[in-house]
Parts: sequence; structure tokens; C-alpha cells
Amino acid sequence: MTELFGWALKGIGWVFLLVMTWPLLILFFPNSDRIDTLSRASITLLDDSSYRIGEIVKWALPLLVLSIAFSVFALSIFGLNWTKLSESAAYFHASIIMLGAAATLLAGQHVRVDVFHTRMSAKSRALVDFMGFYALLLPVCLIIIWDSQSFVNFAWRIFEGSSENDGIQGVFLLKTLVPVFGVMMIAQGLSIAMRAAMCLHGKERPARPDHTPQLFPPLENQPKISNGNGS
Amino acid sequence: MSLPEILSLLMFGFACAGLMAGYNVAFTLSGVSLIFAAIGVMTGTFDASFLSALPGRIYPLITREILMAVPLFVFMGVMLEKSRIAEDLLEAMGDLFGSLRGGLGISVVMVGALLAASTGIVGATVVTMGLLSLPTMLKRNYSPSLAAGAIAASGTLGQIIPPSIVLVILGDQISNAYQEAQRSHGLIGGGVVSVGDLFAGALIPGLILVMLYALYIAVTAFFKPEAAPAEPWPENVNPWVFIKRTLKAMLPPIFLIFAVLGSILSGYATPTRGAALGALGAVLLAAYRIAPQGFAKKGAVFAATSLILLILVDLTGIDMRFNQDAWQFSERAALGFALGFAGIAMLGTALAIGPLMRDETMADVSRTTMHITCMVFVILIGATVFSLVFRGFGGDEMVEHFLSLAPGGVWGALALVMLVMFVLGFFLDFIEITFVVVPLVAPPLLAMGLDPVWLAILMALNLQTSFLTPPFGFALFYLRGVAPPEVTTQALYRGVIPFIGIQFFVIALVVFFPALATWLPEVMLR
Repeated sequence: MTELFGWALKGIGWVFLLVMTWPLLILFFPNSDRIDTLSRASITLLDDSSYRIGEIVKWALPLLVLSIAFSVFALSIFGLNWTKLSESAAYFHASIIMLGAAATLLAGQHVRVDVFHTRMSAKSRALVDFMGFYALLLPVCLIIIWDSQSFVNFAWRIFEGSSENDGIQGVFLLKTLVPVFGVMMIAQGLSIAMRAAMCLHGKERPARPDHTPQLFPPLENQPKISNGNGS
Repeated sequence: MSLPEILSLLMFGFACAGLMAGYNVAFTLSGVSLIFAAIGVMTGTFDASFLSALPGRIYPLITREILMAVPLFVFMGVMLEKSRIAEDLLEAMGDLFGSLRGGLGISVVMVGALLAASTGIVGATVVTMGLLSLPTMLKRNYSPSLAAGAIAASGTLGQIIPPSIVLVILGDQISNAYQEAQRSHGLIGGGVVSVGDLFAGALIPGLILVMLYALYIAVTAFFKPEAAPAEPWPENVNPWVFIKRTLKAMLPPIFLIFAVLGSILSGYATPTRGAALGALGAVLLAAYRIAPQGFAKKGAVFAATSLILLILVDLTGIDMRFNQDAWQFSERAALGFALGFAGIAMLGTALAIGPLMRDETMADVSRTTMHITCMVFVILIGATVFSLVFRGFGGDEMVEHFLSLAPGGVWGALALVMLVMFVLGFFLDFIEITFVVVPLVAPPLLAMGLDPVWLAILMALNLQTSFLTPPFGFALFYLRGVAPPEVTTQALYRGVIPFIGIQFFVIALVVFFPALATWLPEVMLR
């Protein structure tokens, strides 16, 4: 039964690999209305899901603070030790990173070396992101997903839990976050590559969710950064 | 040179060049290395099964307890920043000390040292400091180069003054490297080094830096009064008003930083737990600063007071553990007090969080913290891929071989590593360098008998200097981005040169007097 589920998941994965060519379609057939409508819908869908997941996951941060602070006092003063509480910190921490990374990509907060980048035109920056998706982000995330097969498979097979008896029995879920990270990053990268392809043709792009600045804005809309002699 | 060695060197070069295109650092590093891995597989010089270790390397990054200190410290820093505590502090100190020559400049260095301590990301700190203090300094007729130099330099202090997140990551890496040196390089000893050791080791060199920065500004103001002019107080003003305002703005954050550092350095809490307490303290401070309603403000004060009392009761050493048999009267009494304090603390915290939730402060802080945390950890993941491929090509053995060939033995090797890291600091941020370079160079260096804490502090000082050095220094780029046009780039470059001189002086000081870095960890944590 679980084997079947695994094969189904893998099949879906192979099918979705074809979807990765979509930004190329936008690039090669700029005048097709059908491609345009479909791209807009999927960009909005992908952006919204990354954004919403990020907005939920961010609440794990105050929880992380409170849970560790609470367990410090409980343990060091009253000698109380709830394994579930102290283990929950790892779950909060891991979810923030693995599920929030796509929202961070959407918000453009993954750091870049901006020596030249800030001086590039909107189209050059779109080209960098377009090429970067295919040459860098996509292969890396595919390798992460591919290589975590046996890692996750083993954890699910025994429903791996905590090494403590009274811990949280969910280590298999924690390990599953690794390929989930890969999938979410590919999805968000795909949306950005589609926007980049539209930008390369000088088209208007769909609006972005709250708290996420416009991608590839024209240079004069950027915060002004002067170089050279300060003129 | 063999083909894999050439490929691994090319990979390094291409990764650095690729970064200049401006794609995400994390995916540039890992993507370029994957392209080279593919070339390696085709030429039969790379074993693809090497990469199957990847999830096993990523998983510890997201679950290891010590790395949880990173989001917690970032949360604390962002909370302090969003609640405008830094602004208050700078304004109050500027008013108080502005009547002295160079006083405002020294205030900037002090605030940088205090509050940059919590964020530790070069860009964020320099931008904040630049936006906050550069306009004020220029308005008061400071020379643009002195003002810009002071801000760029104090912005980078956040890396070296604990608690900084880069020291957490560096400490984690050095501790792994130290174990590796013992395991596979035959270093005898069985010692361990912790993040707490690094915090303790960085404290004295960091404070020396702050003092020398302040001294430089004071001396400049003395000999060149026009570069750092004083602005006298308005007439008939009572200086007590200024002093009281400064104390009010200064004491809470100072107390918070001291409490966090003290709890970590004294061994009372691990860095992660200390960071959580610091983050909780920052929440209470922010609530006190922002909350409009009286009872939320009171809640924050009550919560903070009872948390402090709770820790004080605990420090008396009275045994209050629930699962004991021999209860004495004093223990019961102490337990009663402690439970009362704990109850008040929880209630007060709940009251204080209320307004932060309502005016979206908590949501904003959490979102920003999530972005910074993900940025850091995705870079760690990217750097993991990179070093995995580099090792697959046998790059680690090549580096070790190369280091053993360096003229002058261990000192030559150390100088070489420092030079390479300095140059890499022009292209890469602290985190990438720590994760890519330290695992490669630290085990052989440590096996040659160098002290791990000393080595780590030297690396941190070295990188901090690199970020200040024209024309590529990160800090300069960020400051250039927010500086008004009347601060010319030449003025900026001229301004940082004395501070770079101070940096090199302190590096030399630590090289020749290793005790500056190693004494405090030995006294405090052994």
C-alpha cells in the first residue's frame, strides 16, 4: 500500500518535471493568449501559496521563543522536564527554515552579491533570474529531492520517532521537510522564472502579495544607490 | 596537478565569478558546484554517490540545538530594532554627549557596539546605523569622512562582539573541525570547544576595538575640532534632564545584553537558552516601549521584574526541584515565592504580548526574522552542497597538502589562510566563508597545534576587517547605498582607513598576545 503511494508520488513528480518547461513556452510564444492567461493564473497561485504558508509558519518564531524560555525555567528551577516541550523546539525551528524559505525567495530576501546587480536594467536582472532558475536552483533542488528518497523512505517505513520514549514521535515528518523544501523552492522558482520570461518580453506582470516588493522594477523605481563620485 | 584538483580549483573560481552575476548566493554556490560535479561524473573523476550524503547533512542543520540560537538572536535583534530602542538610545546619547567635541561620534560607536551585538549581519547593521546616525552627524557639521568611517566600522562590530550569530555559526564549525583534527589528524587531547568559549574569547578583543575606535574619534576631535564639532546645549537647560533621559534609554537594553551574555558566559544557560531569554526580554522591552495601555505596560514591567527575581531565587542555590523527598522549610518557602514569580511572569508576558499582536509588531518582527533566518540557513545548505562536491574532488586533501607546503610551517600556513579569507571576504559574506573555508582549513591548522578559540577569533577579526576594506568591502557598499550624495565615495574610503589601521593593530595584538582571546574562556567556563 505505502509502496504504491510512493510510486504514485514519484509518477506525479515526473509529470510535473514537464511543467518546468513552461517559462520557456512564455519566452518562445509571447503572443499566445492561452499561454499568457494560464501563466498569470499559475503565477498568482504559486505566489499566494508560498506567501500564505510563510505567513502561517512565521508564528512558529514566537512559539520557539516561548517554548525554549518556558522549558529553561521549568527545568533549571523546578526540575520539571517535559520531553515533548523541549523537542518541540526542533520542530518549530525546522519548519521555519524549510517551509519559510519559499516565502523568503518570493520576498526577494535571499542575499545576492549586488556589486553589479543593482546597476543592471530590469531585463538583465530578469535574465539573471531566468537563467539562474534553470542552471542553478532547479538542479540543486532536484538533487535534494532525488537524494532524499532513501533517507525519507527509511524514516517512513518504521515511522521513525524520538529516541526518548515520551518524546514527539514525528521524526519521519521532520525528515520529510527536506524534500518538501525542494518542492516548494522549485514551485516558487518556477513562478519567478515565469515573471522573468514575461519581463523579458516587456509584459505587465501580475500583482504580488503583500510585503513583497515588485520583481525586476525599472531602475528609477529602486531606492537610489549612487556609485562612483557621489554625483 | 591532476584533473580532479584542477576541476575543484576551477569550481572555486567559477563560483566566485558566478556570484558577481547577482543570483542568490546560496543557489549560485550549490548550482555551480553541481555543474562541476556533472563534468566530474562525465570525466570519471567524481563519484555521484557522494551526493547521496546530502539529506543527512541538511537534516542536522535544521535540528541541531546550537543552531537554534540563530533565529532566536535574530528575533531579539529585530524586536529591539522595530521597537526603535536603538533610535531612542542614539538620540539621547547624542544630546547628552553632543556638547563635547567628538561626543556624537563616540556615541555612535557605543550604540553600534551595544545594539549591533544582537543582529550580526553586516548589511542590516550598517544600513540601520547609516540611516539613523549619518544625517544627524552631517547636520552637526561632522566631516563626512569621519562620520562615514565611524558608522561603517561600528556597523561591523556586530560580528565580533558577542552575542553575534556569526560567532554561533563559526563556533559550531570550529568545534566540528576540532573534533575532526583529533579524529583523523592525530591531535592528542580530546578537548572540546563550544560557542560559549567563542563568545568569551571574542569579548576582550571586541571591547579593545570599541575603545580604540572611541579613542581615535576623541583624538581626532582634539586635534581637528572642525572634523567633529561640539554643539553646546541650549541655554538654561538642566543637564539632569539629559542624563535622566539617556539613562532611561540606555539601561534596559544594556541590562538585557548583559543578562544574556552573563547567563551564557557564566554557564548558567547554553547559548540557545540564553538567546531565548534574550528574545523574551526584547519582547517585554518592546511592549513597554510601544504599548499604549497602562495595564500592558505594567504587565511587561511585572513580568520582567519577576523573571529577574526568579533567576535570583534560583541563583541562591536552594533546591526547588519537585521530585525530591527531603523538603526543608526554607525550600518550601522559596518554592512558594518562585511559583508566585513564575505565575506573575507568565501573566505579565501574556498581557504584554497583547498590544504587540494588535498593532502587527509581532507579525512584522516574525516575518522579518523568518526572512533572515531562512536566508542564513539556505546559504548553509548551499554551502554544504558546495563543500560536499569540493571534497568529492579530493579538494580537502589538496588544501591540506598545500598548507603543509607553506613556507614557515604553521605560521606560514596561518598567514596564507588569513590572506585567502581576507580576499574571499570581498566576494562572500561571513556565513559562506565560515561554512566553506573553515571545515577545509581548520582541521589541519588545529592539528598543527593552534588553539581553536584563538584561531576562530583571528578569523572573525580578519573577516571583519575585510568587510571594511575598499574597494570591495561589504560594509562600504551598504553604507554607500544609504548615504546622501554629499558624502563622496572618496570621503567614505578615506574615512575607514584609520579604522582599518585599528583593526590590523588589534589583529597583531591578538596574534602576539593570544591570552587576549584565550584567557577569558579558560577562567569563565572551566
